[in-house]
Amino acid sequence: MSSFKEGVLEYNGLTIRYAESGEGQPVVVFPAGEGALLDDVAAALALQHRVIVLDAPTSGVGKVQDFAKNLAQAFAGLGVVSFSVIGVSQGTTLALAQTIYTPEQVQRLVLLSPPLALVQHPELGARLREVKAPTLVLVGTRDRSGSREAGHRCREQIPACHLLLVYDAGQVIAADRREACLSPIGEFLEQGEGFIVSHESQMIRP
Amino acid sequence: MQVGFLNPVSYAGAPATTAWPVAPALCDREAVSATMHRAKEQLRLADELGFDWVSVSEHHYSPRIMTPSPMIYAGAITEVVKRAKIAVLGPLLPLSNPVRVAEELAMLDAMSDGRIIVLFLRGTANEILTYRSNPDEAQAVTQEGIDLILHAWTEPQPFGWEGRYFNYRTVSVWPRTVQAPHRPVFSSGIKQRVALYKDAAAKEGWEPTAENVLYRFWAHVAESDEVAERNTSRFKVQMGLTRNMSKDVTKSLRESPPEKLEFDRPFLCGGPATVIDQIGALREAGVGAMDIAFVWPGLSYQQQLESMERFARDVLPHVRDL
Repeated sequence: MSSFKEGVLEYNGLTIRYAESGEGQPVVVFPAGEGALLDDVAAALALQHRVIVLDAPTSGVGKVQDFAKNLAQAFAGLGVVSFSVIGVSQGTTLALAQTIYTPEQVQRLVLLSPPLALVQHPELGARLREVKAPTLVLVGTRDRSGSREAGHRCREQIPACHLLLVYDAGQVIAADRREACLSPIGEFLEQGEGFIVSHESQMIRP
Repeated sequence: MQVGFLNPVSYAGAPATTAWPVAPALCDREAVSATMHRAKEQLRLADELGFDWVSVSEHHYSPRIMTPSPMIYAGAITEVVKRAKIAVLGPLLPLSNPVRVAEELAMLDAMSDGRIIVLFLRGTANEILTYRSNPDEAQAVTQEGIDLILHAWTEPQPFGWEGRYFNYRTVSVWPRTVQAPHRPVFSSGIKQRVALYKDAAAKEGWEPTAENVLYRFWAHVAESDEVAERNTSRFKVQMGLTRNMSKDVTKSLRESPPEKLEFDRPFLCGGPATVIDQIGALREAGVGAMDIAFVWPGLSYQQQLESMERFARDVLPHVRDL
């Protein structure tokens, strides 16, 4: 498993800790809550990607639009100008804001268990149609927190959005069914919307 | 009490072997046509006699019930049965693509103006051999398949499914079911699973009523108990089509032996008064829906029709309000 090295991003008053591991196309992870710097999924993705897991910002968040633009500038300081974004639960708000406000930088958006509050956000909720990046939303079939309704709204309004129901998973979706999350996320990050096409051979014996 | 007629679609030719599978060479082509004509005649009769539904099941490689594709048969029923509901009891999910099942049942619901009732099943031990499914996973596959189908009927947006046994990236069933949010769905179970079902319902904040408990069985109603006994006592019915298979096969299937392997007589059997009492006992046990096949070895086709008509005339009016 890749080891993470920690650092601090600073730009225009924004200060945010991060942990980084792996090589390849950059993937920025907005975790579920404060202090959740690393999780198992991020570690697994770091085998194929340069994964940057953000901690909760300690200062300079302000408006989400400003936060997103400052963060993109801070990433530029790391040499990261184009990246994909993964938001987990409460972290989906900043992930979505990053995608809307820095569309040139964000290549793909992945939302795990988005709360209903995401699509009801006073600023972002009305701008789902502006999301340019291909988007994947994962929701557990046992999740009763409102994620499914949020997923429906995303699927309906984000122009290139795929909703994936993860069978027998609750709100902490990656903990309940880690492989069932990792596999489609990995394929989506690699192939974008092409991940809906299967090239798995159906031949049994040559 | 809800009462359904299980259309047996039993082979009209000479009785075949009790082994499984049964060789196609034993299947007389003319008898097949006769079977289908009889089955259709019984469907019309059940509709006229006032049964709440007619039902069809899925079985393979055998003359016992010749509907390996219940969907095709149910499609035909929609044109024959005009009043009664159509119960597809039911598709065998370990042998099926659940999304396809969801699509076909939605079609049937539309074609029947919302008259479809469904039961999803795992299948008896022999059915697992039909397409070489894994018996060890059949129960889990069935459960996931049911969940997937219910989502396919209710999700308002296209979705993908990341399951343990099924994986789809694009599911978006058209037409939607006519019945909203979807048609009634039964599940199968022995006593222990019924208890689990009631526990699970309680956790969700509701209590199953008698109408949620369906019992399927054979019945024979004659003019008197003595005649019913005489008509049915010559033969017994043996359960379990794997009983004649090699021990290597049955051991590998790890089949749980049925609670009862041999039946001396139909579950409901007798003159009308006796059968009414038997149904009363069933109702007291918590059953509020019955799916009845009026077949038994040795009964002629004419005797089956008479039994069915007698049940509708002399029994049904007395058990409706139980």
